[in-house]
Amino acid sequence: MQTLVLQHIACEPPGSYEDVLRERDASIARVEVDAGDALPDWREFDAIVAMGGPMSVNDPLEWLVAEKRLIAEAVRAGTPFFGACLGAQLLAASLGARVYPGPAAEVGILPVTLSGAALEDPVFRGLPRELLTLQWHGETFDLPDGAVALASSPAYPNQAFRWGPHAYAIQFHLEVSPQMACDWAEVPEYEASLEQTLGPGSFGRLLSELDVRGGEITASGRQLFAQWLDVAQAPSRAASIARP
Amino acid sequence: MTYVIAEPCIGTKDLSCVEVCPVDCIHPTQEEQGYDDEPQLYIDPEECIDCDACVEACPVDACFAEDQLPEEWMSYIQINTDYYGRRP
Repeated sequence: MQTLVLQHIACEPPGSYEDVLRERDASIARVEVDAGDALPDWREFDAIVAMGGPMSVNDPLEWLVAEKRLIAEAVRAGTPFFGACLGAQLLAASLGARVYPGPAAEVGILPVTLSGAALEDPVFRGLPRELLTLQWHGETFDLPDGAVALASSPAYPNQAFRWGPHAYAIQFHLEVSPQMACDWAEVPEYEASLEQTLGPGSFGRLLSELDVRGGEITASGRQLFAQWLDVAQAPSRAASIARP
Repeated sequence: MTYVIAEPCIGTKDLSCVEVCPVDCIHPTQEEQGYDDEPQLYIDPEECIDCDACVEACPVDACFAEDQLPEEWMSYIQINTDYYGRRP
């Protein structure tokens, strides 16, 4: 399986999702889009994984425009897509939905509630209805036309959606190791949103909590991502594509 | 397929579509040369990703998917394309 991984900052790799890719012997082409790496032809890939980053989908950056075009073309052509955080917002924007700042940053170890549709969804099936996550974002999105809502939180009703049979957007993080979280705390934008939301010096508490709950979170992430890969790799994929 | 801006934009040039377009394919924007001279805004058919965002954003219902364009405004397909041939 040829997988295109779109990264937007070096410290946000796919983490435990990447572990699953490697266990499945998937080939990984990592493109650091923010660093100026050229976007390849999406037609060469069986699936696309887009990760987070400190920028906004709406920032006036040429590479963001090119990336949204790539995602729109690939997803509308039926390429399986998995977007996390900024990657989720990129999918929403590429499908014509609005992306905008939320009322306040949502940061911390927090649950999301899976929707009724998620309980029947092949990718979310079997996960806890109250799913523990790491949240670290300030922007959110409207649901694109035809999207199926899969998760919500009190502050941000749109936490995850599916569009078509195998394009998924996940606002929250289930892939983060404690080391990755330490790296994120060094990113000025992330540090600022953390301290504004949870108070000065709060990273130590977050890290302690992640040490205790991180195994549960990444186990959910591995299950979610493995189930997405199952859907993405299903032999009937080409025949089952039904655009909303 | 692409999207097209038709007659209702003439004299309106509201710019809501420019704000929501995820790939910045609607011109001229207010900051661009030619904004005051052009009667309307235009969608670049080579750059449009068919996302539909402009349709919902437009306050005067000037944006259409090409296959939804009312018959009387079919000429706007060419009018939009032509702008990108002369764009400063």
